[in-house]
Formats: sequence, C-alpha cells, structure tokens
Amino acid sequence: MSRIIADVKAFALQYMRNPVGAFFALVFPIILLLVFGAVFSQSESPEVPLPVQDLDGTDLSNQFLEIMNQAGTVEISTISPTADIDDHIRDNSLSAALVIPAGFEATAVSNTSVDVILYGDQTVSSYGIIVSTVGAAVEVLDKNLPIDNRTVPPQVVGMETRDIVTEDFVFIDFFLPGIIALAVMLNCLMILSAVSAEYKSKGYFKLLNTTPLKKSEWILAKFIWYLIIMSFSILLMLAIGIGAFGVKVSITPLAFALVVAGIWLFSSMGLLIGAWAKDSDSAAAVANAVGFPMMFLSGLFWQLEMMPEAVQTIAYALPLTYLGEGLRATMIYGNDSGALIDLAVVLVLAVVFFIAASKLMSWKEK
Amino acid sequence: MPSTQLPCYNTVILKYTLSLSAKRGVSLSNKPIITVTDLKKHYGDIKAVDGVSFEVSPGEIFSCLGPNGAGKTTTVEMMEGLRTPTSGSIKIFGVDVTQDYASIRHRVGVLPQDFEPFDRLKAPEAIAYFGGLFNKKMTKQDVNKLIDAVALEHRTDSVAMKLSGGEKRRLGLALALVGEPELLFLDEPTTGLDAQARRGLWRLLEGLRDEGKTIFLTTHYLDEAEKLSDDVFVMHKGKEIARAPPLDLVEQHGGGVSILLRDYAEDSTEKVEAMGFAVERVRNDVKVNLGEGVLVREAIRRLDTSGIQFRDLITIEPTLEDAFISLVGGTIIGGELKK
Ligand SMILES: Nc1ncnc2c1ncn2[C@@H]1O[C@H](COP(=O)(O)OP(=O)(O)OP(=O)(O)O)[C@@H](O)[C@H]1O
Ligand SMILES: [Mg+2]
Repeated sequence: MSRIIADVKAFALQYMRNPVGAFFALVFPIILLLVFGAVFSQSESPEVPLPVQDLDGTDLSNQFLEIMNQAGTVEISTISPTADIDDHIRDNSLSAALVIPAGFEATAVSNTSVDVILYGDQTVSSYGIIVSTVGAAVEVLDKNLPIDNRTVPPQVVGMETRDIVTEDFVFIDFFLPGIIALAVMLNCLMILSAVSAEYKSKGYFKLLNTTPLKKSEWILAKFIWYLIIMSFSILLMLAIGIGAFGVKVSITPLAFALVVAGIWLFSSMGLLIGAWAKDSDSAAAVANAVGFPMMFLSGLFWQLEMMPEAVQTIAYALPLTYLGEGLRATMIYGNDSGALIDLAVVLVLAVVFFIAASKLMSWKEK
Repeated sequence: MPSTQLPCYNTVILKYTLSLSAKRGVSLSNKPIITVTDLKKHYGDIKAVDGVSFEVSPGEIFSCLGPNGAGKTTTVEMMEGLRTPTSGSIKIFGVDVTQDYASIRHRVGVLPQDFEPFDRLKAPEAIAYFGGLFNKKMTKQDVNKLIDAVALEHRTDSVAMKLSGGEKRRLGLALALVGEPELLFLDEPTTGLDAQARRGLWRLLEGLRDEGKTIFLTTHYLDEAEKLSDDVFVMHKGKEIARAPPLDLVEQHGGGVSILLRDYAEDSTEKVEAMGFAVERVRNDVKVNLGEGVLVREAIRRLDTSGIQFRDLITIEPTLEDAFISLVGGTIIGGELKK
C-alpha cells in the first residue's frame, strides 16, 4: 500500500507540473462550461421563446397572439395544429408551450368562459416572464371582447397552467453531464496514453521494474490519481455550473459509479494506446484520432435523436456515448434504470480494455 | 558543474556510508553472490552474449570491461531480470533470476545505462518516491544524506529535466542507493562525467564497497577498470576474453616493464639489441622492453655501464591498456575499439 501511495504522490507532482495535465483536468472543462453557459444565457434574453399551437385559427386567436407579440418579451413560434402537444413538448424538450383551444372565439363571444392552456416548467427561470406575459395578454383580450352583458365574472377568457414535469432541463443542465464525460475521457485517454508511451520510451518502466513496485500497483495508482483529480475537476465544474448558471442536476450514487467506471474504461484505453505506440508522439496521434471524433459524435453537446441515423449508429459504437448518456440519464432525467444499462456497457468495455492493456503493457525488454 | 562542490564529495560520502554500515552488520563470507553459467542471449543472428560464465564475490567491485557492442548491457540487464536469457543460468543470492527475480529485487540497486530521471520531479522528490517504492520511511535527513553523497545539494530545487547529463547520472546513482541494497548493478556509471566527477564517484563506490556492498559495474574506461575494480571481466563480441584481478591481467598480459632512454643517441640501437632487449624508437627516446625474467635493477645497471649515450632513463609500468591490447588487439577510445 505504501508503494501505491508513494507512486500516487510522485505522479501527482509530475501531473500538475505538466501544463497539459493541469489544463485538461481543470482549465479546459471550465472554459467549455463558461463558453456554453454564456451562449446559453444570451439565447435566453431578451425574448423568451414560446411555441404556440393555435387550434382555433380565428380573428380572436390572431388578435391574442398579436397582443403577446407586442409585449416584446416572448418570441412566438408556431406548433402545427395537427401535432399531439404532449409528444411535441417531450420530443423537442420544450420548457414552455401555449395552446389556444379549438372553438376559442366561438366560446368567448357566446359569453362562456374559455381558457388558453399554458404548459410550463416552473423551475425554469424564464417561466415567470412567460406566465406574466400570457396572463397580461389574456386580461387585455378579455377587456376588449365584443360582448355586452357578461354572465361569467370576472373574466370570460382565462388562463389555465399545466406543469411540464418530464425533461425539465435547460440547455446548460443538459450540457454539464456531457462536459463531465468529456473531461473524464480527455484526461484519462489523452494524457495516460502519452504518459505511458513516455514511460516506455524514456525507460521509466524499466527503471520501475528494478524496484519492488509491481505493474498492477502502478496501474492502480493511476486510477487512484484520476479519481482524485477528476473528483476535484467535477466539483469545480458543479460549483461553477451551479454558482454562475444555476444548473440543476442531481448528484446520484449512480453518477458517481459512472464516473468511476468511466475513469477505469478510458484509463485502460489510454494505457492500451500507450503500450501499443512506439513513442509519445505516435501515442498522442492515435489518442487524438480516437478521442476527437468521439468527442463530437457521442452526443455530448446535442441529443443523439436529433442527428442523422448514420451518425447515431456510429455514436452507439463509441464508448463515450454510454458515459455521457448514463450521466445525463441519472443527473437530469432521474432515469436510473436507463443509466444502469449505460453503466453496465461502460463496465464491460472497461474490463475488456483493462485486460487488453495489462496484457500488452510490458515492463520488460523482449 | 561547479568544481567547488567536489572537494567535499569524499568526506560526505564517508559520513553517509558509516551511518549505513552501522545499521547493517557486514558479513563477508566468500560464497559467491552471483554465479553466471554459460549465459547466452541471441537476437536472431546477433549473438549479443555468447556463453559467458563468472562469479562475483561478496564485497567486491567487479568490472565488466569491453568496447561498444561487447554485450555488457545485455549481460547486466539479464542479471537485473529485465531481459530473458536465451539459455544459461544466473543465480543471485542463491536465487535463480529467471524464475524469481521478484524475491531479491529489494536487495538490489540498479543504474541502467540509458537512465533518465523522472523529468518533472526534483532530486529530493525522486529519492523520496523511490524510498516509498522500497518501503523505506525516509526522513528529510535521510534524503539529504543521499543528495550529499552524490554531491547534488546545490541542485535540489531543479526538476530533473533541467539537470546536466552528469548530474542526472549522479541522481540515478542516488536512486540506486535508496533501497540500501547489498548489491549494485551500475551500467557505465561514469560515462558522461568529467574527470573530477569520475574520481568523486570512484571514491563513493570504494566507500560503498568498504562497507560491504557488492558492486557490479560495466565500463569501457580501461583506467577505471584498473584502478577501481577487484576483478575485471574483459568482454568482446559477446564472449569472455579474460577474467582476473586487474593487476594479474597486467602482470600476465601487459608485456612487462619497459625502460625509456631519454634523448638517445641515434646510432646505438644495435648495441641495445645486442644486449638481448627488444627496442622501439619513440622520437628522440628509445623504449627498451625488458621481457620476462629480467630484473629492472640488473637491466638499469647494464644499460648505464654500456657506454650508450642517453640523458636519463625512466621505468614504465605496463597498464591494463597494454594487457587489453595484447588480448584484444586494439585499445578502446571513446568506447570504440581502435586497432
Ligand atoms: N534488443 C536488441 N535487439 C537486437 N540486437 C540487440 C538488442 N540489444 C542489443 N543488441 C545487440 O547486441 C550487441 C550487444 O549490445 P549491448 O548493448 O549489450 O552492448 P554493450 O557492451 O552494452 O555496448 P555499449 O558500450 O555501447 O553500451 C550489440 O551488437 C547490439 O546491437
Ligand atoms: Mg551498454
């Protein structure tokens, strides 16, 4: 055990003194978070998007939309009248939608009360703007209704709100588990492949082989180090995500298990590449060739369902997809059974790559 | 390297080595610590090591001497468990190295020929790291003692990649010593060191030997093998050329003592030859080889009274280089064999 601790300590010093290591562990994920956070914050203001399904299609419904438009706080887009509103909200991950029911005008002018239906997620920061805009528009419309003696006090036209409970996330929430998965992949795969190739070419493995340190202990020490540095990195991401952007994610035991399994998987892949490559340059080239496509094709930054089918097929062949999906499932959707499947996939791949890496990595000269 | 650091090299080493030997009772039995039998390592057609056998006794400095490509590194790395022999056996501390090197690893310190220190660790950090690997609880003082022993106390704040070649080798030696090994394998410990640093290192190695450690080193410096070692194993093209204490080699193969006649008069070479000596002209001097069985004292008397013209005479002892030339047919310059 003391050998492992000694190795973790020495590796930590070397890691943090290497600008590349510190960059990938602590700086790069934060930059991504800040950039995407800023982009997201801008798209939120000044106008909040509000998709509207107008099932009435009359003068009155148009008048109502016009009133909301003039308020300048929401940007109205149109949902096809033929769409099933619940499916549409779920498929497009909407945090708000407004439905003007069929017969809206006819009901109102016949002096009978009628409600527009506002679907919304109360936990989203823009919810308040939408409610007040729609509420105000309803009042204005109601006052201007061409009816004389009202039988339904106080208002003929009203607003009914319905909560959207599923998929109640905003983009930055969606994004954070992706950055965590990405940070795990980059740190473990990219850096460990270069490190182990360097250890080989500089004869560090040979040197260590003359000490009582065992190969398995060295590998274990790397996992421990990555657990430490990644925990630190993830805590930093969560702190900034929550502090600066009000990210709402749940930190579940399953998320922790996924991170551990991810570290195991991508470290093993890194060691495998390092053991196979001739020197650290070719290791870096291979790691880039594996890592960068994975970074963009694994649906970390956008939903896989929105991508072409061919891309989806590729994505499901990439290990990072399962880590990203699993983290998102448990941290955002609370879909632990889905995350469990992803965890299983990551673990199986980890075992496979770990065995391959341990076999191929040699501390002896042939 | 600043030369002012080196004079203290010696005294510091003594302090270090004394404290070590106080801890460990030195036992000097004469059973060999290393027994190598008919060791071979072939790489395809290349016979890097081709059937060598030798024994190393406890408490000695054993040098494996040979030019580039002789097979020294291959031999020593097989002994360190880093390469698998094609055939033959290696026993260290009675253990068959090919079967179970792990059980003796903690008793052996190694300086590889291509040693590179961990680039981003400072010398004290690297030493503490190795202390951990050898399960040694090292205090700051322990670390400093080792740093002093290899005269790196002025470089403790630099990461290893900023050290000079000689400083790196000295750090490598410190790492080899961390585990307080009974046996040291040093593959060309002084290559790349300047003359002064080499001497310092010799003194360090002698100090370690005197406290009972056994040292196996490789070298292509003839003077190093001669001055430092108790036994020399001359290796060439993977094979043993000779094996003996250096003075024995010099005595057996060095060609005997010569006398140099300074500012020798041109015309009397035949006179010396007529006295039964081998003669070789070197500019204004003449080198007279006494051959076997001639006493120096007798030769000087005869030359002095022969009436031959010369200003003065000097006796020249043969060196290991002379023995090496007669054994291998060339000398080693910069690691290369020169005919
Ligand atoms: N891994 C290898 N594959 C093929 N040939 C090798 C290998 N290692 C060593 N050799 C060959 O074996 C021979 C002996 O090499 P070795 O390194 O043992 O010599 P050496 O005495 O240590 O030389 P030097 O003084 O240059 O260090 C050389 O001809 C070398 O080219
Ligand atoms: Mg060598």
